[in-house]
Amino acid sequence: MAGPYGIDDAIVSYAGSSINAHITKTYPTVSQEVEIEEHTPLGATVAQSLFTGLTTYGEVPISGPYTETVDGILGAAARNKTTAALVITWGGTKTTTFSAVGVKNYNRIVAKGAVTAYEATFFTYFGCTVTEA
Amino acid sequence: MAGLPDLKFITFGGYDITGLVQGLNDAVTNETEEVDVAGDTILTSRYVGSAAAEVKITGFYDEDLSPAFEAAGAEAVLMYAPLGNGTGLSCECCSAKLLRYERLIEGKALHKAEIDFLGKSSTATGGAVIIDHALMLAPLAARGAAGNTDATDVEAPAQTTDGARLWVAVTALTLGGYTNLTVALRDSADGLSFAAVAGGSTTFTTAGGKMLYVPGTVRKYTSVSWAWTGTGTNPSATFVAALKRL
Repeated sequence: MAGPYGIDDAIVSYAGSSINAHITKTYPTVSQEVEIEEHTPLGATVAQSLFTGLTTYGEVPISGPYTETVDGILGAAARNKTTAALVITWGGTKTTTFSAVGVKNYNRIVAKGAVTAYEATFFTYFGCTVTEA
Repeated sequence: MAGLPDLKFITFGGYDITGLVQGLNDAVTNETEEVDVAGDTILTSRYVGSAAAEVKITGFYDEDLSPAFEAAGAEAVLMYAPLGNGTGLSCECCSAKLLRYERLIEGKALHKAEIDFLGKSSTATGGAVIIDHALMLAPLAARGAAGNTDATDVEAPAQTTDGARLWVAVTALTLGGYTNLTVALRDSADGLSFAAVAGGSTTFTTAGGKMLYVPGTVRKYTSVSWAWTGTGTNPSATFVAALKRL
């Protein structure tokens, strides 16, 4: 068994470069959900479902301290509506690669007693493929 | 890293509202639509072309600044600097429409205010803009006699031929008999010899904020100048100017 892994093993790469240094508060969550539809035949005593064939990858949120550097990467992507590859290395050689993600939300928060922060949310863009390796 | 102390100024039109702000949250949201079709195995989405930007401010109620927000549907240039007030630092700029102004009276607390703005997207000049991530050419400061910022120019990686947007906010203006204040964009190819950029000047007779689309070529090094039209004595203006290259 390889692992267990912690945040010291994780790498998040966006557009070919690691953005680990910018992720300090909200670490990425990759949610994978297979869509199903209930089809319970007459006479059945247990509810049954069928796969519809579509897999949904939830939006991937990250956050950390706001800097000019992160604004140039993620803020620019949100404002310009560009897409890029997102690769998450969980640990060892285990990776999840999204071939094309967009930035749906990009927030900047200035608050008393806190470091000015950014929040960004990735979504799977049209034509995106997801590769588990 | 930055914090609230680095948010050195926020201007709305001709008002410097920095003193009432305890928090600021701006958000760019891109609308998307699911586009998976027959044969697709992964749900994917596309940008649908519409985006929205909101800026939310929380802080204290200030009776002197309240008029800035009291007019229903107020619209003005909003500029703020989350990383400090200095030449070359970022300045977020947008043409903002006031959506909500809430004044709160609470027990055992000072009066508070919450202000929400919507960044207006305009395609009239220079393309769509919601919140411009611009760079300051002239930090917010009081200035008197005519001058320029050539000595502290801002260098870009290269010139642009797609034009630029010049954002200017004047928060205090004393004409002293002069007709108006003119703020103009200047550029240079070598950082030594500067000249006015055609179509890059705007005038003020009162405090306020403006966005000017400057078409064509803007060379690698940029600065601004300010000058007084007519005759008078002891004029002064407190203003900030920032440039967004396209």
